[in-house]
Amino acid sequence: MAELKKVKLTSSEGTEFIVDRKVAEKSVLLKNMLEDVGESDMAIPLPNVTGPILNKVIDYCTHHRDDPFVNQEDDSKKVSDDIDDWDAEFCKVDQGTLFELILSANYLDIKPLLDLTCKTVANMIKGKTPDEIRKTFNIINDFTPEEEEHVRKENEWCEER
Amino acid sequence: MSLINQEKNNIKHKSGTIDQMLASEYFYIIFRYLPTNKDLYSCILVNRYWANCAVPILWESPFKINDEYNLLPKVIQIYLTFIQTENSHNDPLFNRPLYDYPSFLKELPFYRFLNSVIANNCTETQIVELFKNFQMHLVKLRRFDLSHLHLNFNGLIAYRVLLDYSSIFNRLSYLNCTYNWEVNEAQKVQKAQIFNELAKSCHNIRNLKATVRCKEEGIALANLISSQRCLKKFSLVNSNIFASFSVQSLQSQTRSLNSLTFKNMHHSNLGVNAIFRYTTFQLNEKAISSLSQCTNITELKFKHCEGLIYFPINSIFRNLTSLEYTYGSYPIIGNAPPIEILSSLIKMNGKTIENVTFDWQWHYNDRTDYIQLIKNIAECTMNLKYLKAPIYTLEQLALILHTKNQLKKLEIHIDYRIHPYCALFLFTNMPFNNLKNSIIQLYFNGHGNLRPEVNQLKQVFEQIFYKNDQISNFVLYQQNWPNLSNDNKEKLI
Repeated sequence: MAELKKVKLTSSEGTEFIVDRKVAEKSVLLKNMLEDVGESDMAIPLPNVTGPILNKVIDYCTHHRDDPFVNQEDDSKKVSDDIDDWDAEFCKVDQGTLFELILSANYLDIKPLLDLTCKTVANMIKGKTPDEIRKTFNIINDFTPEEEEHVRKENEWCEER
Repeated sequence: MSLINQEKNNIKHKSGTIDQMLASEYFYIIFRYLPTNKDLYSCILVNRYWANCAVPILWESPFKINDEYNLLPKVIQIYLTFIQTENSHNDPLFNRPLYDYPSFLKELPFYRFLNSVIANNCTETQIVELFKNFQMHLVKLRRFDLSHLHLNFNGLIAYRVLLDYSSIFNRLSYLNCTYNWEVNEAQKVQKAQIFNELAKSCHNIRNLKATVRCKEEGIALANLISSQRCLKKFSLVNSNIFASFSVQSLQSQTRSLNSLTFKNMHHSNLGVNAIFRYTTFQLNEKAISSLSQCTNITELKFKHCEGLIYFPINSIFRNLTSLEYTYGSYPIIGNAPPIEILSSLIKMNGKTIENVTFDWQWHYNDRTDYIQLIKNIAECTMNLKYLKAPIYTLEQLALILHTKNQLKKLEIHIDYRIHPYCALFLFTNMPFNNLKNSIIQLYFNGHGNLRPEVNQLKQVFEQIFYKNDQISNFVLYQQNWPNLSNDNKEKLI
């Protein structure tokens, strides 16, 4: 049966992962590669993904292996508070790991994972003042005072609502 | 482009900060998940890089607000500075805006825009100047909303800007033209002209909502529909029989059309001087029959469509996943929901249907066709995930609870003739294997004298959750009852 076929993936450090083809095919990149290559025992190198991150990505794809493909309309409303318990737990990682997951989800073309990780970052921003956001993400304010005042003035209309 | 340096700032960050790891494309995705403009405003003030990412998103739809009475004169003032900028090329003292704000505009609710314009005491000439400026800044709107016209203006101003600055509108993917303004014949013609003008320049509308009240509008809307390359969603709102022309033209979109909504199609006139009266569903039989060719429809919705007496019930919509029939808040006078039509739609398309919403306040008279409808839901919808329906007898409730589908959410409105305890008894004794991780909501329309005591109700809950701990949420609603949910589960058991 096709579902039981295994696929070998190699992370940037050379660590090999063996996963079900169905799990690997949650990645559109891998799905297309597997369709192009056909039957092969060759490991697929993923030079942009480290072992620990690939491990997390495989966890995600395994948990969501049976989820249907959802084609979200461009103009549909985007909400960030619809994260289920498993996904929320999955995203409880340090910021570096979360950002690497975002990059890997994009590289591997796993849109639900990209959406989930981006929603998680959005939730970290939601309701915070600029200063709180800077503290949360360890960011330095590089505006000159004049620039900041200019930006504030031109966009202050949304603060009034 | 922005006067702010577009390059990432050179200040050394600690390795692995968000600014260092994520390119602007990722910020665009993240910021679109922020629920309010205020959140975006906070992002704009974080640093230059964040401002460069967040400003274009904030200014895509500056008029998109929940409270339509909220005026945004300052947005218009910023836009007006660009008109001044054009006239102040050589003035070094002129304080130019930091960003090319008009160029980011993608979504324009015309009524709210006009409200904000009026708050600035702008003249009609200045409105036209603003659109001229939008065109100069290469604005390409994606969404245009003409659901209301402003009392100070009529359809003429919309028609004028559409005619003179058509390039602003030629990439529209969403158009809402549901305003209903029937003061005189000339204004009826204006809406037809708007449709005809858009038909010339806009060919990529994917989501179209329209109201049609006269023959000219019906034909013009048909023209607009036929000129689209890939119309996916079509909603007909508050329209009369003249919309039949437009509905027939949907035959040109059968490959792409996947969502069809009819809303408020039951009354003949809601004009300024109209007396409200009930009539039947307004489309003619030929138009409704033509819908049988739209076989790619996945969503079919009737909202407040009393009097629907005909539908191509033997047609198979091979991808239909969602069926909704809602009466809204109006009482039904001398009429009943089209049970036979809904029953046939369920039977013919049961294999694909995942969501069913039936919502009405109808005094049930032991009609055998309703039990047949429930049987069809129970027997034919193998993939049903969401069901909202009124239930009038225990037999109907038992049928629903015995379904072997994949229900994730069950929302049952229980008629006053069912004693609450009898309904709950069914829940306490049913095997809930098929309701794993599901949400169940019961709405009791019971008389006060049938209201159970809270303590007794808690006991019932205790039993339900003891036996069915896999149900993720179970909620009871009844006026004047304390609503109970399994948020209280721990306290109850």
